[in-house]
Amino acid sequence: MDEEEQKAASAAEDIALMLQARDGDLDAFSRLVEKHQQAIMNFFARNGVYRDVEDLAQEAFLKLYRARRRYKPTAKFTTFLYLIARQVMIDGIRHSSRKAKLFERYGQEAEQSEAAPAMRGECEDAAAALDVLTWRLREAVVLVVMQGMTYAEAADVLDIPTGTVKSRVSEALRRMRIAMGADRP
Amino acid sequence: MNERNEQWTELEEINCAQIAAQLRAAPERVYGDISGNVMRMIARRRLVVRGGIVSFAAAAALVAWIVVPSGVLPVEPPISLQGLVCEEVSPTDWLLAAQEADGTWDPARWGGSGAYAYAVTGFAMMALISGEAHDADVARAIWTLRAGQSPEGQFRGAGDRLMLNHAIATVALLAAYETGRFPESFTVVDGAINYIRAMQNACGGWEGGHAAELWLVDALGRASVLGWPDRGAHLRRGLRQLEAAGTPFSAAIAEASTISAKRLEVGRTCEKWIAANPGIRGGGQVYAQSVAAR
Repeated sequence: MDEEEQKAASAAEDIALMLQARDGDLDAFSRLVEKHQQAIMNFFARNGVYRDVEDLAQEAFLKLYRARRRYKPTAKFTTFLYLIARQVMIDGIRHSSRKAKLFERYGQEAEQSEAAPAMRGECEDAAAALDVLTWRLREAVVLVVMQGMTYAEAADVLDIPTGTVKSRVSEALRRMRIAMGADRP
Repeated sequence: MNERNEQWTELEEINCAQIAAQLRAAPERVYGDISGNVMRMIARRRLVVRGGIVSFAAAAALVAWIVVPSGVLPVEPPISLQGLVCEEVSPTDWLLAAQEADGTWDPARWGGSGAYAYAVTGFAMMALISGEAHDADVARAIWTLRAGQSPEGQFRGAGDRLMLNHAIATVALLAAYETGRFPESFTVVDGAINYIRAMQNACGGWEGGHAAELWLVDALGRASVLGWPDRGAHLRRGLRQLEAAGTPFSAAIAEASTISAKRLEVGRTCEKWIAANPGIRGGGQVYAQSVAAR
């Protein structure tokens, strides 16, 4: 079974478990939590939320449980899960005064200078270079590149057109290349 | 070619495939298993929902007993709605189950008013800090109070009942800090006390009525015992204001001869106030269960 087939089988299993959970099967929900908890906590960390990731993940799964009756197997389960997790993350950041400052910083969509000269070559690895990105660019690149979503799935989670996801991912990676000094002659 | 391969080709075209590959190869951090906690919290919520259904059924029976003429529909009157809920869940378990995901309590969801959310959260915290078993739950509430605090120390969104909410939340924070198990609460307590001091008027009182003033002075008294010096005589002035207020508790405070004795009398009055009010409309079930759990 190749990687794509494994992903398809995993997605089908998720849907089956979520439908069982929707009908009140707690064991099925528990298996979903066990299966996706690490990915969700890493999703928070990759988006720059390094503290309280366990609390945020717990809240995300509780919200998922409360929303289980709204789940319809028309989309991938992970799209539904990340949609909730992203909302929990944004709420968590907004509710924290300390993190609110971080949010403002990431949320400022004022375009950074194209070459970002102050950052050029400062980051040695790609994960560290994520920090040069604005919030919107960062969440797009995290979902598509690090969490392995397709552009269309990320577009559903972020509630933006697929083309916008593509342009954000491209722009994010371009900025990261500059930050890592990959464009140096 | 599938969608992911297409994406990869596009990234190669813009010369970013290498960085994307590095990102994909970045190791995932391994966190602790949260599935047990999640399932416990779900189990608690289900317990409360069941309790709610039982009380709803009892309420329906009560309505039927009152409305339907005797003999037409032989419905036995319920013994006690409160009793039915308590048979299902102890007050402490009820509080734990009703705790919001952010650690606070919302009285509006349990028959009370959202205007008293901070006060009710304070009462619930005070009910849970007697033992160490629920420290994690109290810590979550403290964290949310801290997150909602303005630079001046005010709890944001406390609304019309600002000072009463602020006072009771501060007393609860001080009670938690006093245990020594929540040293991280120092900053939020300090901010809350500074806000009380800043809002004190020239007469030594505060806006919000005598009940708010009583709890605010109690907070200042507890703070002085825990090491917050009363340099601006805020506690003394607050005590004088209570003595002069002409309320039922003013005389007892005035009769106490020392600041320490007056402070203790204020604390006793707060306790008496709770004992005399096992249920208040604005606090809903959360307040009632907090009192029952003390």
